Amino acid sequence: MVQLTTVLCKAYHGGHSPFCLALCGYTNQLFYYIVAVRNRDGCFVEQLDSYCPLPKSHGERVIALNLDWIQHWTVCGAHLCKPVEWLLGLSGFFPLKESIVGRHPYR
Amino acid sequence: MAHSRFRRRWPRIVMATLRVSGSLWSLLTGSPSTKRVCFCARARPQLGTLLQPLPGPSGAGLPCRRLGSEAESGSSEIKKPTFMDEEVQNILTKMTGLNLQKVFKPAVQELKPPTYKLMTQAQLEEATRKAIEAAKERLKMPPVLEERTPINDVLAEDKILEGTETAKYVFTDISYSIPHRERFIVVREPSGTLRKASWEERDRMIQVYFPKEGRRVLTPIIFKEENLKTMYSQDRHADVLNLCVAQFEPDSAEYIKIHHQTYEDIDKHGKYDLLRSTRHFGGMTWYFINKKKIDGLLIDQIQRDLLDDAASLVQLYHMLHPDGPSAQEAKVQAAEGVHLIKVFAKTEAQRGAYIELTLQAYQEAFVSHSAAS
Repeated sequence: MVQLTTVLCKAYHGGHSPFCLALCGYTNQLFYYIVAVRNRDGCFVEQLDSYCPLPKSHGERVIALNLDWIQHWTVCGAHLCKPVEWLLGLSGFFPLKESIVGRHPYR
Repeated sequence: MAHSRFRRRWPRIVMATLRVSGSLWSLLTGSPSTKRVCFCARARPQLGTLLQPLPGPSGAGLPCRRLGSEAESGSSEIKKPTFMDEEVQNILTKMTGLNLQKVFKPAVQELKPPTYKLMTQAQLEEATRKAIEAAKERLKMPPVLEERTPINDVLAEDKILEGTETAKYVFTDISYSIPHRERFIVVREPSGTLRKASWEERDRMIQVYFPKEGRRVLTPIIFKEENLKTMYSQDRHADVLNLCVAQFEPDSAEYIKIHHQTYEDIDKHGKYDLLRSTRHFGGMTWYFINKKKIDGLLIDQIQRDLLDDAASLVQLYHMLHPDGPSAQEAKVQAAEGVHLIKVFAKTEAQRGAYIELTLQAYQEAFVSHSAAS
């Protein structure tokens, strides 16, 4: 399966923790993982995110968030990329960023 | 993953505002995760209303946790016995019986030739004892709970999001340390409302991420009316109830509805023996006692020479309805056994005459049998 990485936040912040939350997607099956990656190697898969509005699932987009680990990594100083910020804002876990609303990060 | 390609192109990320003054979920999550993580979060006073845990019905939670508290939550003068009281459970277990042949009847499984073992008498007794213990495990009754109150909590209404989305988003918290009842599952509607997911959505999402054996994500079609009727006509009430226990939560509306429907069908056709020696017998008896419809069951028990069970059924009935005329009469006369059944037949039964007739027939048969032998 070809892996289409839509990583938006791989830059290393000098002085800050190198962990960041990124999105990895797959072609042919619109499916994204939210991942905490270290600069080069994306290792730690934490949560699941599927963006295919499956007709069986009553027209819903299902997202799973492992909140324990999100809290853990954010405390360790992880940076969030825009789609993840937007998602977490949508979920109510983080406050919504007004600059992001109105601009769908996926399209 | 070739990240180096992307490193050059994508700009620096914007750091999220981590100064979360009262992030909803960190406060709502409660003890398990906040112990690990210290947020500098200041609780806003209006979040106080949102800080309540998920609303649960009055009888929610595993029965083993609530053995003591149910009794305490009763009224101060009269403690109404609940399904999970020890005394009630003892009576119901006794009535259920222990027919090893029925409990371990052949189930559909992989075909393999039967095994034969040569045993001494002692070994046979040991094997029987183990079988009885295994049977008791299988006969553990599923809990009888009140129907759960629907969840209608709206967490936030963000009008700015209205029209940006076409489908609703369902967010599930998949942290392992949280029990399923306390898990946060929220739905963001296309209109911008953030609400807690309904019970059906919750069950579906939990089944997607934490699949339980025997449970399907979507409700199987066997639970439709027509198919249920077919199952009843084939005398497969026990199978229906087993499937129901596997599929639904004990306090969901469908579970209770299907159970009640099955019990009504059994009562209509008098097929009480179908559930005897299964784990559903206790639940059925409890239902009939609450509805005050124990006549059919009583007659069936007398006809099958189960007078002890009949007497304990009436006794349980008196425990649950102590203010009824039958209970009062029984207390006055200090009735026991057959006499207790007669008192009940005279006072509260709907088919009292029939019960008395059956009792009479049984006693005559008993006398003639003992005279013959």
